[in-house]
Amino acid sequence: MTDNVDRLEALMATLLGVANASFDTRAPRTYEGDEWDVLAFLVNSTADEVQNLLQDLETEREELKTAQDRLVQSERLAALGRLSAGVAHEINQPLTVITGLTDLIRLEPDKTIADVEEDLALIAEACRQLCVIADSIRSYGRTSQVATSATPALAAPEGAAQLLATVLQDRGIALTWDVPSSLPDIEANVDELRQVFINLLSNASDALATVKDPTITVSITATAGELVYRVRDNGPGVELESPSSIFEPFVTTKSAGEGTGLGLSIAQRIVVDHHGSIEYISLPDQGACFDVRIPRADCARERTG
Amino acid sequence: MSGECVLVVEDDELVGSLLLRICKWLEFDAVLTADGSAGIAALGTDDFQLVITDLKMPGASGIEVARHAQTLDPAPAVIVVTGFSTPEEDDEIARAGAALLRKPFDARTARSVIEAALQ
Repeated sequence: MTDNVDRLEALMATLLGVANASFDTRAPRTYEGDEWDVLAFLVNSTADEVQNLLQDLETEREELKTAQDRLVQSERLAALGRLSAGVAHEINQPLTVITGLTDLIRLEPDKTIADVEEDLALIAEACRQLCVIADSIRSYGRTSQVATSATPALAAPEGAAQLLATVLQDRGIALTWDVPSSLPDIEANVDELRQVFINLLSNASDALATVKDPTITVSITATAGELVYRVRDNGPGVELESPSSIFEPFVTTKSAGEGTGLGLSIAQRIVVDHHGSIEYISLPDQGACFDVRIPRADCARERTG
Repeated sequence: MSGECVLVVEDDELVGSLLLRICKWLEFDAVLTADGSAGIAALGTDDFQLVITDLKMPGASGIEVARHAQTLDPAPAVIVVTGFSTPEEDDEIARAGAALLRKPFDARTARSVIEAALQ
């Protein structure tokens, strides 16, 4: 009787090990061919089989992880390649101006400083453009752990609207708000998030330059976990082969000197730092539309514990 | 070589100013238009001996400007200015009878390309 209890306990210990993915224990065998021994054999082989399967799974997971890492790495290199090509193109314009004008000044040594004042002003402007490019790249490349806190839903978009109020007014653009009377707080860094709305609103206002009754609409809706900010304009919209490419650095529809093509990629980085998302919504014949999703403060705190 | 009528087509204001400045140095009369379609429109209004155009611009590309210039009688010489162009674009520029000036360039390089184009 005691013997059977021991055997049962050994079987249970083995099965318990399997249940906990720890495979140190096996049931002792008597090799007498009785039912206890058959049971021990079956339990032990099950444990062996599960252990082997788990090991295979682990190996395959590691291989998959390596393949994924490689993919991410090559995607990163491709993005870096595109970034470099864009930087080179941007830098080339002011560089041409500096190269050409310094050469001209040297070719006319009899001229006085006053004679070349205009040339110098152009060179200074070209240098300023180079600084703007350098700043944009620095801002793009920065990976930040933003300090966030519970922030009123309207703080960032209203801050951006205030900063751009004069620009919008000068261009005759109406900014309308479609916002429920009460909204939960979001988990955000208001300074960073304001930049996202500055970029979206400036893009929209640039797109509205030649539009009749130019209007930008900001609407906010709350879902269970996040707030969705929709920024929409009634401009010509953006035609793209793939909607996500709009967020790639140096993708721009603007003419040289009007934009670096970094605004939306910076916006995307900030939103991702907030554990949120940004998406270009393509609405045929309805202007450009962006959805920015930011976690609600109550949900964000639950997640981080 | 002086007094020639030059049309500059360039959407970057600074590079446009540089090209005008180079024309002034060479004692040309130069006019600036800020995009490709305005450039093509200007070609119809005046007799230009030379067109200096950017490659990538809103409205119409430098290649389209060059092609349009080719249809005129007398056809002005065309120089396409670009920092980056694909081999296919280089071919198209050549087929449109235009010369290529690569950015960044100094004043002397610009002068020699312009002189060669006006030959």
